[in-house]
Amino acid sequence: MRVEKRMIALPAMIMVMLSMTGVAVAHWSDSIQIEGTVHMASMTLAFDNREPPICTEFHEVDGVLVPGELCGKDVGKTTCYYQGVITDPHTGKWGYENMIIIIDNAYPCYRVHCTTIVHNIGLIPVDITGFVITDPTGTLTWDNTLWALVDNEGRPIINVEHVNLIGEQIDPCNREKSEFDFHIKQDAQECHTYYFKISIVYTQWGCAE
Amino acid sequence: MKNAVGMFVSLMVVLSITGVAVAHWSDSIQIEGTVHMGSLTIGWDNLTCGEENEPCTKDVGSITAELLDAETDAHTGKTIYKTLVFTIDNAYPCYTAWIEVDIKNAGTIPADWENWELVMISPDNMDLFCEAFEISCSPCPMLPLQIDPCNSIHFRCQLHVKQTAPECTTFSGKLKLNFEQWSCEEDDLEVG
Repeated sequence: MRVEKRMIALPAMIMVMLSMTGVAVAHWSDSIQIEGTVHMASMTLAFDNREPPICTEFHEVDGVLVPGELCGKDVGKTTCYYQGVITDPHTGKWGYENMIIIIDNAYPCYRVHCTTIVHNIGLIPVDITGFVITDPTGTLTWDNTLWALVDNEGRPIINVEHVNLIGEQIDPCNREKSEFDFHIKQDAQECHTYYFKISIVYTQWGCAE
Repeated sequence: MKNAVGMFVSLMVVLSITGVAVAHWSDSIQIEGTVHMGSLTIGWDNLTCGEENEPCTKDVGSITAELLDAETDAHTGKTIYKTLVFTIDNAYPCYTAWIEVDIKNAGTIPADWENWELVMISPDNMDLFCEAFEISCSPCPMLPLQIDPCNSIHFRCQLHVKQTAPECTTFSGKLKLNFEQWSCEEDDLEVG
């Protein structure tokens, strides 16, 4: 019976020893680290604060565009300015988020040409992917075939044409000029107020090549 | 084999997530436009009428005139009248009546007086009208005639009853003046 007790104690002690040894072995561990920090860049396009927008009236004579209004009269009037300062948090550069165009006393055939400069004040290149032209009040809708905002009967009211910018890639710190022509069409109503909004949509640059 | 497929699928999922993250960087800046349309409002104003001295200082014929259909321009607040109505009673050969009136541009854009239309209502015969009356205006408008906003043109028009006018006949007609938004034909912009 005494022998049996030893036989029982021996495996138990071995188990305890082994387990202790095992703990000691497991304690031998270590690691090396990769510590990562990602400072994200910023993508910010703004209307340039160094050069105000310019809107110029013109009319067509025998297919040629001439500055001013018909017969040299001063009837319509267009004012434009920037609004809404935005500052890039990384570069500290600033510009404007909105360009406001107000056309007073407009009439059918009135045409105005607006020039604006956009400035990449962020840290990464951007691609200008397109314009989205809308009427914030919902009265007019954009017709892509006529290049015009049309009324609910599909008649063109404000024709909007643009020169360059779409497809352009603008690197950080660089500027690009954009031009828009606004033409009030024959079906525009007297004494009405029309609204339009052009969103210049840009994305992080891609590489078409 | 299962592990390989699982790895591939996981890789695709990770890449697509990365792809979405890249495409997510887009933004826009805005151009906000407001177009206040002008107005084209032309009409009559400042009407007076009268008659030339009748023979022997008698008071036989008479003329009355009035302006109707008032319209106020929404922008300028100026009121003009779209219709001028005159009536000559008891007319006779040699009788001469006159009207002085302004054509006024109460709108905000220049207007061109392009043309006019005379429609005889009774009798429906222009020849009879021409046999009966002689109309002259001073100044004689050479169309097209341009009127700028806030401006007006003053006219004095005389209606003379000719010797060939028939007795007991009532003439009525309608003269319509047509205006358009101005155009630029400088050679035609004269008042004769």
